[in-house]
Amino acid sequence: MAKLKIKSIELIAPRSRKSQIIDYLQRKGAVELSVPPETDGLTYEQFSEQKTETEQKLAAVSAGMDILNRAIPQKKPLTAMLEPRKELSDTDVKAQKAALDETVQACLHLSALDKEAAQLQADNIRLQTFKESLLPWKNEQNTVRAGHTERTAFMSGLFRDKRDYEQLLTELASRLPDRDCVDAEILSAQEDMTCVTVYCLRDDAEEVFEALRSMGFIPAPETPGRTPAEVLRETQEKIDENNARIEAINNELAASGALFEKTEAAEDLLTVRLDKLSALEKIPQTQRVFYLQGYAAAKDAEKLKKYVETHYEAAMEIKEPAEDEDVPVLLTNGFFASPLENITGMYSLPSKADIDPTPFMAFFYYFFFGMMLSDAGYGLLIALATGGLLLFKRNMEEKKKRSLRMYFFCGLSTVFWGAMYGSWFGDAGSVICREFLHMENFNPLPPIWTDAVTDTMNVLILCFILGLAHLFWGVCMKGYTDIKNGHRLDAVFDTIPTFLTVIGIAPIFFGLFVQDSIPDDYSALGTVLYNTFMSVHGALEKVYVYILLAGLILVILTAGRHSKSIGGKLGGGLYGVYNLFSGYLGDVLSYARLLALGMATGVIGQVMNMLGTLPKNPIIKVIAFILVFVAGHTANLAINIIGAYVHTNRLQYVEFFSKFYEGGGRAFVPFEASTKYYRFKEEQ
Amino acid sequence: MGNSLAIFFIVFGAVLAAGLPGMGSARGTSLVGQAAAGVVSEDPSKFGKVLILQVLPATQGLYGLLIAILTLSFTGLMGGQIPPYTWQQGLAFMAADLPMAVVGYFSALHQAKAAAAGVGIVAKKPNESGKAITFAALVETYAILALLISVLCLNGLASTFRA
Repeated sequence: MAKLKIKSIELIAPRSRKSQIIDYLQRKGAVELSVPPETDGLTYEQFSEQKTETEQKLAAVSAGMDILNRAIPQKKPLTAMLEPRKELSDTDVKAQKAALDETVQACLHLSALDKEAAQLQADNIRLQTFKESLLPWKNEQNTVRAGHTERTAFMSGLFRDKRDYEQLLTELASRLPDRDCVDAEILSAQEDMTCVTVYCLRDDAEEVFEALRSMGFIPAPETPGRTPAEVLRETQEKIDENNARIEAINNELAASGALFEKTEAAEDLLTVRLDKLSALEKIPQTQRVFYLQGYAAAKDAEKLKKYVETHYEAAMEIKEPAEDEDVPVLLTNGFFASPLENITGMYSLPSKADIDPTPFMAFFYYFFFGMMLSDAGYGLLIALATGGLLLFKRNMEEKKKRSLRMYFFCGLSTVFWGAMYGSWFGDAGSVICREFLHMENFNPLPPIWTDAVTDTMNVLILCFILGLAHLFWGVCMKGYTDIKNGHRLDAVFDTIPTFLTVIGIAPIFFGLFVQDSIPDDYSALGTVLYNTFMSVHGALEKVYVYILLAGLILVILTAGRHSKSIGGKLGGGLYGVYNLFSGYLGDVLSYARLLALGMATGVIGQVMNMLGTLPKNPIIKVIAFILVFVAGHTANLAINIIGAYVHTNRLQYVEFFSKFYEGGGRAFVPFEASTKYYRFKEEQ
Repeated sequence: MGNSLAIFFIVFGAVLAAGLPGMGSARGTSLVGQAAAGVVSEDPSKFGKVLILQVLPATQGLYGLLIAILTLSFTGLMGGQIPPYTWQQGLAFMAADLPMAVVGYFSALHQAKAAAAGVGIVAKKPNESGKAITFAALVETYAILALLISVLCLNGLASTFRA
């Protein structure tokens, strides 16, 4: 129900037991290790070699895992992410540890195969390109395509367009006006390709070749000693051979499904080993004993002490942490509030002086979430989905259960508010009755309280009242925190003046939003609110003024009480008044988002229903309505669930927490087996 | 004719009240979101903290929406029973929407700048994120004051014209 009591622990044990004790602590995951200050005479063991080796193995196994995942696509059902990690008993762990090196070798083999396949693929691309460049020459019987005699040189090649003999020579002549000893032979000419052999003087060969290049000449590939047809056949054979090998590799990879489990276990075991080695390096020791210090929850510490002292000849001391120690924070809450520990953690964990705000915000959190989503249909969907999963998948891990539980409660609250506002998938009920059942002006699910979209003012005033309640609750928490920290006088001065001032000014404030007389269409609650805050006549009106005055005087007298000088006290008091007015005005108005977001959901839902009923033809109308209903409401739910979540958080963080909560605590990070696929079974 | 011109002014005022702060909030949340994405790319666990900073400039859009709806509701436009306003009266309603429209737009933008700077605090000193929120939330005060004035004007006009 609060912050767990954290104890500081110290442990001394023989060095021979070090590994066992560390294993035990890691398995339990209940201790946060801290690094003791360096002291003369204490040494540290170094494990850099083992660490490097373990890291290499881990890299090999991760790479193997990637290859397996690629080669054997895993069809996982949607609910797979809700499944808990598999359990590994001690015997399993022994077996997997024994098989570890074998698994690493198998993974290295997988990596080698994968690399070979990749190289063969690259090879094939190269061969394919070569083959294509050779194809135009496949009927050529000559084995030489460029060369020279004593005085002349020749080269064969192709142009990627159609050219005739004259064209070619004219162009060559225009590029090389002073080289006239050039001739050419057209070997073949098609629409998109011309194969030629060009002859020239051996001394001119380079220049002619350059000129040809600039004209788009592509030299023919060499096939020394063989005809192009022969080389083509050989290349094709090589490609086929490579393909066969790639297929064999792929088959082998696809048949390695049995490795999955071993690889997962190996990855986990190696991660655990690496963490253990890192921890061991930070533990100081003498020749005979080692020393370890850290933090543990009080409830775990005793159990740990008993176990290590009976099993491992260790001595463990459990102490209260010193005042100035940076003690980590661990929260514990019940069924209703524990899902929200994450929300608190996202802001900041409680510092030493803070209380755990989680249980105190739980009710308002769910309540406000429901008010912002405010559609009973959506709420029902959320509650049924999360409630169903919680009921039928009991073996889920606690962390996932918690977030589902949060949405379950949010869903219930949404059903409540949806029913109050009469919003079930927008106004689907009355739309269906009107459009398909020909029942005009009939709403099968009328609002229990009022329709938020039309009765805006009443709902707005309710929002402000809820906001005020939330803020006052925060001020109460401030008083509670003061008392906890032994500041009883502060508890009075931080709360009572605020309450008096705000209550005293409330009628004036609400008067700004309400008209002079009760309109006829006010709902029952609206009338009650009106009578409470608005029609304050005669004596009652004076009471409010006196309350306000009393509050103001108290604020001026007490808000500056921490200042030393009289002037400072007075200034602080006046500043307190300013803060109270500007702060509470803004804070209360900020709760208008409860209405705005709620109304946004309702209005968009109504628009979706209307869009579905636009077609005139009755059959098309039914189909269109169903399609638009499903797609439109899904989108609306998705958008507004995010909106409700972030704005509920905002109301807690900005408006509520600012009244009493500092934060700044450090999370408890246990030394544990941080595994991905398996968890270690608790042995008896 | 007078009445339809009045309706035009009323609707135009509501559109400004919903539109301008909405634009401001869109730009504002985008600005903070870009800064926040940088932090999350380094440390995904800070998502929750920067998300709150991103949401802060979203408030103005909601206030604008609220004023738009209140305008339609106070004038009777939403219920379809609109009294015969003169065009001057319609113009007065539009004027009542302007504080929210204008201040909403600018305060969203400027709050976003303060919040984006606050993202830097979260990146370097995550434990001080409460202070980053406070810096940015102060800017919102002026959107709240504008909201208040717009509501007061609307309320006052509606009761004056009805009498």
